Amino acid sequence: MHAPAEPDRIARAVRDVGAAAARRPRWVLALAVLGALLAGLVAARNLAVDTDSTRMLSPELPHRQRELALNAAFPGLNNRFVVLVEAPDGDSADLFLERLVAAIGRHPEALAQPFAASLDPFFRRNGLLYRDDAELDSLLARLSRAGPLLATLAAEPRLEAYFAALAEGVVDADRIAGGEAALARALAETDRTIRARLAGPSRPLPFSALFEPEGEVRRVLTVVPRLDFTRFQPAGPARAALEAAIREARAAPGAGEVEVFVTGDPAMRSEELRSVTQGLGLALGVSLLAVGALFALAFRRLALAGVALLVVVVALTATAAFASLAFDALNLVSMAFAVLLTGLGADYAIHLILRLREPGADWPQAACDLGPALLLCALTTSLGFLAFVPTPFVGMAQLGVIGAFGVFAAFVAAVLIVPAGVALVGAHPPLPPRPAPSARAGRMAAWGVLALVAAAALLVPHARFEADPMALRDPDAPSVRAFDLLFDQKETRPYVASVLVRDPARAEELARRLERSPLVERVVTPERLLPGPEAEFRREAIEAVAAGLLPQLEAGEPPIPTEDGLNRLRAALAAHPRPGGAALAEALRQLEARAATDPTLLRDLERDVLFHWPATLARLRTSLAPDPEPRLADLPAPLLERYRNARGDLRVEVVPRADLRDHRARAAFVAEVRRVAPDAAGPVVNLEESGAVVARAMVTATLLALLACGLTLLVLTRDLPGTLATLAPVLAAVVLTVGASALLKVPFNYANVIALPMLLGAGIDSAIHMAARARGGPAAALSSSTPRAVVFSAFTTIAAFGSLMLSAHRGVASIGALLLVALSATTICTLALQPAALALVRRVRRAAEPAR
Amino acid sequence: MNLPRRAFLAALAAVVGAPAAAQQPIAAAEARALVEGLIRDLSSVEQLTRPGPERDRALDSALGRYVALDRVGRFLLGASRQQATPAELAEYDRLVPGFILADVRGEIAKLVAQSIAIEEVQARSDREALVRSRFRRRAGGSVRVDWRVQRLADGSLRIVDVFVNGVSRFVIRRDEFQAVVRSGGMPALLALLRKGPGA
Repeated sequence: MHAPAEPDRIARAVRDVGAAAARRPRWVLALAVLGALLAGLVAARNLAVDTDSTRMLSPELPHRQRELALNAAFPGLNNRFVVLVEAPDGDSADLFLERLVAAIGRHPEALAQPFAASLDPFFRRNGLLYRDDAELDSLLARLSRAGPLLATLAAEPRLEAYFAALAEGVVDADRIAGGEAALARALAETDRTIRARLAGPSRPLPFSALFEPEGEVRRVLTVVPRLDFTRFQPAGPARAALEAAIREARAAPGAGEVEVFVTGDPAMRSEELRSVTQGLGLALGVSLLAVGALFALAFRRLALAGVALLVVVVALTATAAFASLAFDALNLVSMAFAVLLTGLGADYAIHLILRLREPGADWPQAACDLGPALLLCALTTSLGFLAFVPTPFVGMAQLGVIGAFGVFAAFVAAVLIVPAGVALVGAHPPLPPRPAPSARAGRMAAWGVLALVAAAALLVPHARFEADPMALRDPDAPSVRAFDLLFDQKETRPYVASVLVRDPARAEELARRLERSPLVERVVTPERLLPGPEAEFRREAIEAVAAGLLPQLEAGEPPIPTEDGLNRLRAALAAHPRPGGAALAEALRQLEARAATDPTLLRDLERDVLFHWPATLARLRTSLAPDPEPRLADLPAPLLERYRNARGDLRVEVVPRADLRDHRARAAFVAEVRRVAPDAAGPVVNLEESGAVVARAMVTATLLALLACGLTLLVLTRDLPGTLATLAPVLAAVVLTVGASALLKVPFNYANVIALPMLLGAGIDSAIHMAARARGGPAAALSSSTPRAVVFSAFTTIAAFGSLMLSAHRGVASIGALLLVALSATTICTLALQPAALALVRRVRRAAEPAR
Repeated sequence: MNLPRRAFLAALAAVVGAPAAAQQPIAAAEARALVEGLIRDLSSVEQLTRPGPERDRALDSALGRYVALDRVGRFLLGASRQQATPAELAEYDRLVPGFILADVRGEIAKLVAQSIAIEEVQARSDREALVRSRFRRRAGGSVRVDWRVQRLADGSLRIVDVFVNGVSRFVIRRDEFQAVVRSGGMPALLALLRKGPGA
């Protein structure tokens, strides 16, 4: 590369500033420490974080406009805690929910509008009208067959009556106890309840287990948090109140084996913020330690390592103060600036200090050798950071602006602090020069790397962009695990599309067209929240069962004789072998033996057996008398308000058939919905279209960074072949990085898309330094301190970026993983390919000279 | 076209009269009389004929007069009706009355041959009543049998369900039909109907 004209002035400026600092080293260092403290204070007082990843894209984008309109019309749609309750039976689940709702009611300052369909009076009356036809027919058949057992208990809610009815059921399960399967469950559940009582703890008998399909029961409760935006964690108090309510509900007697999971946007955001801040804090600590250790290794003097660390800390704190004053709030990606700067900011100090440790080196010479190259590096790295600014990815643009500021802060800090520090602690003894590697070894390395690049190029088409922000979150965070559970059942799947309309007829017409698609599971409109015409089949079956069962429940007289129930049950079990009968008979024998000495045992057992009975009976009566003609006004407000607002806007909700965590299914569903309803919005549309915008922004930013860095090099050096030789290894590193992304299955995502532009901006630095020191030929560059500086710069950058991989937040970790790959690839390509590229340029020039 | 006055009034009565009868509330006595009529007819068949095809035909004829076979047939098919082709539906409608009659014939006939007492009539709505009866077994004990009586759209009164000790025979059958359709589709259900309830 030719010596440029412009850098001379830069070199003089760097030399003079550094020389001035070196004349008053104590003052400069004291001011640096004071400045860092002040900047840290400013940052700590003003830094805020916005975890809403949707705000990372420009609000001007068409799909964001649609999303904003949807959120304005239905503001509470996503702003809810979703509580999943899993229980072994419906009785335990509903009892827990009732207690939870009551406990939530005691925290009105933090929580509002708890809603669970299974507790709502409307759905208690009409819930059966919404059941699957086949499932309902089976349930009703079991109920009908269990009429005598239920009627006996309704008339005489006593333990003896239960045993007597069960005894009749053992003799004739089909006519007394709901059929063979229901009887088997009744025997097993009764056995468990008796054995639990014999062992000590109470275990209420779940009556719902007799009628509902076997397996765990899941209920969903939603509750609106009152957010406090004056706090770092706006949902923090609401989350704490919810956890307290859950503890209260659990502590109540008879709670049973209930598992509770909390998810929903507010829960996930607060856990994400916690995981990101903890992850970044850990990464920052580790990266500062690692960088400090690498400084010590590179300089072989602790004092010089301290000087370099001071450069990093001053740059970091100054940038944090700038970020806190320039922006209202950082986002989840821009928070990573601190770790990125630890790696990148170290480079300037490393190059300067190692140059000062070359034999016979002094500041003026070092400043003239490195000053222009360091400034050029700061410029290209900033351009890499700033590449997202012209794109609609405003969240990444924020990181770009902060990063660009930080890079220049590190450059200025290095030019001031390094000469001052070296003046104070001395740079001696000089490090011995290293022999340049043999030409043969260089050629082998170059060909080896070229082969790697060729192999990576084959993988480039397999690289992909992951648009789902859920893929970035900590998979072990409780709210993320609970969110995954929502996908288990089609009724609760969270990825839906929404279309806003004004007219009910238009909503129905749209729903009909959308539900024709095989990709659509169902379409919900306000009108469709009511039981439709197909519910008439269900209603006639409910009426048929009610006609036979309700009069029995009201009769007041047990259809089965209830005296001597325990003995009759033992006799029936002995005479009619049934699944689970032998175990129950043995439990009854033990019960009788213990009851002889424990006068309260049977009373306690009666309480266990009948614990859920009053609620079961009440629910049975209510559910067998559905509303003759349910109307929209009868629907629970928290549900209806999700589909119709006070202004009369209607929301048509399109529920997918497939699990949309699969990116192919997601793309197909969104394309299909938008084909019918181009105005569709909602989480899944937003996610898919945002992904496309970010993927395009990544390509745009990468090309912009390449163009900007290339033009900058060309303008400042006025050397096209040299510029191309400098860019070649970086482009090779881009190919290696994209190939590695495909091979290692680390897809590009919202967080790590900065990798490619940064690779260009920061990766080119090594090439600039090598080119700047190669004026005397590649061998001169390779035997100078620069290769060592390049390697240690790469190590510090890799250590800092790699520390991000310690974060439990997959987005933050993926920034670290991809940048680690990118910077490793850049270092390898620069050291292996650039000398060969520069040698080729020289040969081409020499070959061209005679022709001139 | 000029219609004679009598013909016009007759046509008007046909149009207006049927819905009027359909809207008429069920009187308890009316529902009781219907069930008593069924029991009487079935008892006389039991007493006058010997077991065999001739008695079965007589019982079916009696049951057919009192039980709303079409309505019960529709009920038994439930939501599976939406999956059936027109040809399958036609075949189902042809086969199901015989199946229902064969299904209830044995049990009801057996019961009504014994001592019976109608205890009460409960009005469930304007168009529906439950006639509650108890059969005394000769061997001892009793069986409660409830009759769900409805006024149909044509104004006639018919039995639409029978509950033996509260268990609805048709609800159980409906569940079985749905299970058959789920596993083998309408062809499997039609095959079951051809084989009869004992299959």
